[in-house]
Amino acid sequence: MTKLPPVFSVLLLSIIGFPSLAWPSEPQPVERLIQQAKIKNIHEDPYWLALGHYQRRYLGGYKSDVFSKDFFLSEHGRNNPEEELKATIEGLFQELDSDSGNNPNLHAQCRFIARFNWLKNSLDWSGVNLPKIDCEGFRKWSFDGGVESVSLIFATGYLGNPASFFGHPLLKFNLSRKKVPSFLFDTSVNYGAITPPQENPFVYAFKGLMGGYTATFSHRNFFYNTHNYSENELRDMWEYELNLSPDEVNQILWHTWELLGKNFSYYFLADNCASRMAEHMELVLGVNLLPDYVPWAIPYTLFDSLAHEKKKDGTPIVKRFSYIPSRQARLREKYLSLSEPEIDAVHAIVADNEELDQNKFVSLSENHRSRVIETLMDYYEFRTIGMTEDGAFKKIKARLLAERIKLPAMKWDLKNSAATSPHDGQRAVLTGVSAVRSEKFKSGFEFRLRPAYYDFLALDAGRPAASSVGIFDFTFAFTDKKIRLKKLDFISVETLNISQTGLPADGGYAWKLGLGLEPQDQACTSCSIFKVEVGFGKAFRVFDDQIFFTMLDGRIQTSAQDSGHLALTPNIGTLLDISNGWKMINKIGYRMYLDGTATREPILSSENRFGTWRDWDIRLTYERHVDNQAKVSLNYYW
Amino acid sequence: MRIAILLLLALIAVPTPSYASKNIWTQCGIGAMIFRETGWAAAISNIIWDLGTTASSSASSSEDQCAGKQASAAKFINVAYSNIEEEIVIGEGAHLDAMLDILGCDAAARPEIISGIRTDFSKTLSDPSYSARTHVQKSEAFYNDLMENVTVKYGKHCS
Repeated sequence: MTKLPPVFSVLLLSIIGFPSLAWPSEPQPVERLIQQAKIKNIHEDPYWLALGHYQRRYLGGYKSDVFSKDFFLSEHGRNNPEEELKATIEGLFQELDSDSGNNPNLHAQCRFIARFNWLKNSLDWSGVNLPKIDCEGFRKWSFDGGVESVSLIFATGYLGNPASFFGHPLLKFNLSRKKVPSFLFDTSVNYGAITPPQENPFVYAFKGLMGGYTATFSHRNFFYNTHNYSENELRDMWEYELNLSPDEVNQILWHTWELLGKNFSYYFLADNCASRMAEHMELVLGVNLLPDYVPWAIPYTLFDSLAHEKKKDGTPIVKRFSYIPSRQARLREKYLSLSEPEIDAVHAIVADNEELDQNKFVSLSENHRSRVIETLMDYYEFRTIGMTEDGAFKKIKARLLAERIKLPAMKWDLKNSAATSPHDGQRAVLTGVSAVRSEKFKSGFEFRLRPAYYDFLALDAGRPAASSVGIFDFTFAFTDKKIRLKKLDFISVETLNISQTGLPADGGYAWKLGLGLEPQDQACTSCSIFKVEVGFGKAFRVFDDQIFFTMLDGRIQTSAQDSGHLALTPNIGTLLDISNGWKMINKIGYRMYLDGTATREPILSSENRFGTWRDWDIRLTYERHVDNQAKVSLNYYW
Repeated sequence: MRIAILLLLALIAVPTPSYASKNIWTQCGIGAMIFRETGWAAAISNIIWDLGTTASSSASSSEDQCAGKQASAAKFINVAYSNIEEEIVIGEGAHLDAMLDILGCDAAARPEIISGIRTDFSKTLSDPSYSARTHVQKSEAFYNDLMENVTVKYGKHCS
């Protein structure tokens, strides 16, 4: 054996003994990917920021809207998207070990499936071997690839609850009908605040506005939602099935999985159900569903955008609309489909102690009797809402069931509902300009801005009928070369609660609630008062689309020119749908102050809306309240 | 005495049917799932009843005894009982279909199954005490009758 010179021996030893000194080492796959991510700066990619719900802070840096610790893999992940990205890559490589209880569902690959898939597409993974993890929890939750499409559901507004005036969105994963035949067992995902069951309404309003509630995403079978909204709260639902590719469906599904049970702060006006669902859909749609320049978010705007905007590839966002009528809507549909003798039988049974041996009923054929019974089943089920278990309507419902089962099984093919989709109505934000002529001020102009939502004269579409909901409704007057805030309704809600069937309890008392600033009367300036006004009354349908109502309004107000603080205003009015493009509301009232020196004042108003356009309308208004005033307005909705 | 012992043994040996509602109704808290009240906080908080099943726990819920087919049927019947009872007397409807879907009943056998359910339900309705029962009592009794039928009469049509 040839002996090596000493210098070679030393070199050889150094190569064997200190390989890292001899050649630069190949970086580990995890380090290589982190390096790639750093070079590509992908932690600033909008998709990564969206997955982490990061918001840019005014003073620089980021902060995630999510505050659950288990949403982040890095200790500083909430404020540092780069650290979080690095920790995510590292997490994907971890082997299952006893630290995670050997639970694959707790592995980063299974907890952050959207992140994982996005990273797979954003970095070069060639030659990388990841641990193979079976995400059993996700597979089961998503029915092993059984989700075929995604819908957003709009539960229309509910005037029984101030927080529901504006409706509510839900996400629904539509499952393969081979795996889950009924849509009632589709998976729905809700984003909502966690509130105590019996919260004080003032605390509720304050905390809701100020972000005092924690909100989270949760999932259920869809039948819980149909029960809650359609049966309990009598809210119609509209389904917007989205036009998404299988990959886009998966992206929504994966990210939903990441978000389930994670906590956000809920702000009733801005960071609410509408904004969070919009953000969720924007992940794949590539368009803004809510305008950036509007500091509030309402569900209606989200659905309007879904229906009218296009995806980034120019195709429609929605591929199918469908209607899920509430119990009350079903009752009305059935009732309005009945023949005269059937209607007579319905009223006879309701009027006469709910007995089924009425001549008007027993004289009908089997087919007609079954239609009467089915209408009454809806009616009495509707009447049990809010009642205790021993409610009086259970007996009649049981009698109806027993009577109906004696008749042959048969399907009643109802004509398609006349309900109009929400997105066919006018948009929520109104800006208007009016030319005004009054006895006292002669000519002038008014400008109006109402951020939301609709009024009695709006097109009827996906909103409670014969009602009005407005918030922060400003009117500025420009007269005598001066501009002044004439009126500001902080909130104004009014419903005529009209019955469509004429059956007892279908409909109820008309009511109103208003809170805001307004002039003491039309003749004065610098006479702004703050008022809280409530009213109760009753509305009647005189002809098909003509409503007559009578109300008694009571108000507490600040005094202007010693007007008084308390007043009552009995008034009567009509809401007339004269033709497709002409709707009118008229009121005659008489305000009586209970204190102060203001005289009794007649108040008259008539407002007419012309046009059936979604984006704008023309209105003619006459008002008499001390001064006479007429105006023509052009309103633009956006 | 021998007969008594045999009877006792038979009672012990005969297992409780797997669909028996007692466990499902109590252990899965089904009776408490019905919600008809709408409070101030309902609109933004209809999540309250969701929390128990949110994904933070769903990852480990695969073995959940309340997640099986029969438990799903029981929960559905309890929530949608009013719709189901109406659809039975009418003879068709989305809830009735959904219920039979969960139980894996063949489409071809549905008319026969529904006819059988109508016949049984007719007897239930003829009981004068029916209207006095609570919602939970009605839905639990219906579930038991249904499962009896599905396993005994229509076993070959429902998986």
